[in-house]
Amino acid sequence: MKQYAPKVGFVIAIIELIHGLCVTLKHLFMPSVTIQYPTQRRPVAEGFRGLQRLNVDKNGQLLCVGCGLCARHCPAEAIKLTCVAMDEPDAQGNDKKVSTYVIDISRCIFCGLCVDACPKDAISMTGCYEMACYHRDKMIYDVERLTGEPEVTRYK
Amino acid sequence: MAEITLTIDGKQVTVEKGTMILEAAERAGVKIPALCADKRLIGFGACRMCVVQLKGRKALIPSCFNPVKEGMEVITNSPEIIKSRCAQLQLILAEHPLDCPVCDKAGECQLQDLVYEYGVVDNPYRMEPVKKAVERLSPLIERDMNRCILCGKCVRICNEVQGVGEISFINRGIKAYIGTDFDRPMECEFCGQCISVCPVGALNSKMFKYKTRVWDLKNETTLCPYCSNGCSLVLGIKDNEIKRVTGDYNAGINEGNLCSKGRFGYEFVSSPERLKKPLVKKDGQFKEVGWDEALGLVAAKFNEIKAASGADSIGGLGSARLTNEELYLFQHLIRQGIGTNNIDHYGRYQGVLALRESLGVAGVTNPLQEIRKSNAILLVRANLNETHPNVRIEVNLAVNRNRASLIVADNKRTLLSRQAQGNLVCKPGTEVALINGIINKIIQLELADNAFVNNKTEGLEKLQAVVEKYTPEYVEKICGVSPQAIELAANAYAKAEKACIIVATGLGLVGNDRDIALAASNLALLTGNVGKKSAGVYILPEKNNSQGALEMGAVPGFLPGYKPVNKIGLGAMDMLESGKLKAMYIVGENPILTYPSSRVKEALEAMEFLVVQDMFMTPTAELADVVLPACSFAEKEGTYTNLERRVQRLKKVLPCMGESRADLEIFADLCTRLGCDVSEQGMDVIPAPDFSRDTWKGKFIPVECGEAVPVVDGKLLLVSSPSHLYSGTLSAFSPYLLGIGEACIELSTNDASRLGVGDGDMVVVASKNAKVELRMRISRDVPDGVGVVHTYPTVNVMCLFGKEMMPVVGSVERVA
Repeated sequence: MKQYAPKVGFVIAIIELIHGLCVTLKHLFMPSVTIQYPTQRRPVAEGFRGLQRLNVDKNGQLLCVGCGLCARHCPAEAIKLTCVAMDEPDAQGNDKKVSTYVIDISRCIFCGLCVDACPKDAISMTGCYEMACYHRDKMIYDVERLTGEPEVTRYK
Repeated sequence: MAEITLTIDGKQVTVEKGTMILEAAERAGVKIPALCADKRLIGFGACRMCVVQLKGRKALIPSCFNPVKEGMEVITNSPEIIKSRCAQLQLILAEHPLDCPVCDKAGECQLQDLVYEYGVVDNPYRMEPVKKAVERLSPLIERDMNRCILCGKCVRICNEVQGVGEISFINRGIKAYIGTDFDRPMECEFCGQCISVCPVGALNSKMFKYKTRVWDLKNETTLCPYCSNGCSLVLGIKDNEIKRVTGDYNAGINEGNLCSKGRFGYEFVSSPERLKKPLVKKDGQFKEVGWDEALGLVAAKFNEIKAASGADSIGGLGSARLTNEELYLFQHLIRQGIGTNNIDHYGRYQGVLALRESLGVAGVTNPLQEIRKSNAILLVRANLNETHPNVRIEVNLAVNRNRASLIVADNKRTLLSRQAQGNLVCKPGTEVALINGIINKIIQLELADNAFVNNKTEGLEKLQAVVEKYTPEYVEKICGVSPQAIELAANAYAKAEKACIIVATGLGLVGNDRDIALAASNLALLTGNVGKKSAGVYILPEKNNSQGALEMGAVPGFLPGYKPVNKIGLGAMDMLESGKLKAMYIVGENPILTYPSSRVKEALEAMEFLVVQDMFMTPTAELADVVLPACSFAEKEGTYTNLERRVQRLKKVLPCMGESRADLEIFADLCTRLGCDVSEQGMDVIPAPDFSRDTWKGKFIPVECGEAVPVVDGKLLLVSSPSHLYSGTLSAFSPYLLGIGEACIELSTNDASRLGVGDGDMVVVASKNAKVELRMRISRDVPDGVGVVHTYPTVNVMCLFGKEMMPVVGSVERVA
């Protein structure tokens, strides 16, 4: 028995090596999973909670009526808004207008409670997750930035 | 009062007879929901939310207007009751627009809270509500009748408490709404009480509209800086700014009632015009400097002038809006630091001080809330709507709830005249003759309280000797009041079990305060209406701390606690008009616009050195050499003494604006620089008034009254009348308040047509003292031959009247 012992070990090693090489060989012919970020981007899942967006109607008017429930429910106190009373009400009889609406993304924890709280579906979460920037001021999103397309740095 | 014991939800409670079940439940700690109930109002039963059941009975009864009975067993939460309440809420919601996201009431809406509490999620009642237009034309108040639930609270508080009756239910049934006659914009005094009681968002303040959400506000209770009533305000604060003012039933003496100044006059606190840094005039221009430099200059200059011309060439003019502590330190600074008795505040305190001579105490004799239990009220020259709106509420409650007879003696008909039993419209400045006439009539009719007069008073013979000649016929000649009216007033006042006299004093009123106060105390003593509940004499001082200013000795004739001085200094007007002063220190006053003299400006310009300590760059401050920025009432601590001598605490609720400092700090710093002791040892102890009920005796001090100023043909007798919205010191910097009115002169229809001027025309009003341009308003309340001039912050109408503030003859001409 004693003379066979090294041989068995050798055979097992060879088998394992071939097994390993097979895996390598298999992966050589499989499609690649690495995404070439930032030239390539993966689609986000449905329900992903990224940067908020303020929704507008077909005339480009904010759906937001300035009730302040998003700010009230925000656990990170990231939302601040002020309203003004218009002299004359608009066609819907509404004379409350949102004058400033600001989300401080550096505070936001992307919990989505603002979206749940909104009675007018005026705010929603987008798939945008690229909010890194070089300056803190850029983390304050006002109405203009929240209604427009997300500003993402695109690389060619 | 009989007491009744009943059981509410198994809890036993004992209440007074006549209490409603709702109130008894609150005392027992059981909560019954109600949308239309308010402690200040009589039960109405509009909302039917407060229904309860009695044990063993099926019927649901509203608890807000069902009084308690002995042995009652009340159930407040049976399934039937809950079902009924839910149905009521569903009925209300059928017509209520669910625009909570844009409604300012959301968060403190009683309907919202109840719907949430009762879990009303569906509604079987469907109705397409008729859309009603929102009324936006009225100043300050906006009415959205779509949200109204017709609880009637606004109508009732306007009627029952304010006595104005501006709004009412219009139409019946499904068409019912709350409105004014013919749907005109509101033209009331804009107290905003209707806004404060609205359980939903149907009545809104335009000033607070969409400013913030109510849950973001931090509420702080403090005192009102305006009149002497001493109401407590609840300031709603966000981002270090006052966003709104509300009242709280449980805080202070005002039961949550506020007037327009208290409720809407807060804008001056965060006005951008506030001074933020000390200013020193160099080469005719103000330069911003540090505190050290400014105060150093003030101290050095005062020392220099004191050394050169003596301490008596310096004068200090304080304000009755300072706190007690500040007033004390101010007089300490002037008396100890500078060494003169030239200290005063222009508070028209002679009336209040006169009571010290006759009744022994300077101030009103009874607490304010006793007025509502009085049986007869004599208002002498007290247009309370304008001067003390919350005292008016007490009078109103006495008349409406206690059926008190009200006698109004004034130069014109006031809003309270509508409810008065007797209206004595006398010629301006002859009120004393009228009171003497009433005293004469009471003596003649033998209605005097002889037991009281014999035991508790002295000097009746002197009074009798003086009033003898004031027969009704003589009084009619002087005042123009008929003998019948005087007899009616004498009977109503003297026959009442508890009767009180209310006299208003203040900057914009005729200057015979002292005489009126003495005459009023004579009348009260004669009928034994002193020293008992719900009677007495109320001489109402003007500003929030007028009473405190007297007690703290900010007057030339008294030290703190009315201790006598060695040498009486110059009074406010003398300081400005005598020309003896070289330097003045003016704190919180604006004599150029509010003092009855057109010479103030020249006098101030002639000063060698003038220091003005104020919140704003007033016309007076523009003449100063040094302007020290002071804090507003919300930015400092202290106490105010209200008209019933209740010392109340002022809270610091905001940080100081800019580099401004509290007046107390400035005075303390100056005291140190001028070398006077500000430690405890350096202060006086203010003695408590020496007063004993057993040995007290009232003194009759007779006063005479001359005839009214004769008016030659074509001229008018001008008399001043304060406007409650503004006196000119703080309200001038509240744009919303200024928007309500303007400086005007009221004339009767006959006079207007005789002079050929129409309502709203601009006229030039001229007297021997000055000439001003005002708008003319025709009023049915003003008697012929009298022109009532209303005060306004931007025009100095006081200068028409001269230092004595007595009625003057003047002419009114249309602006060419």
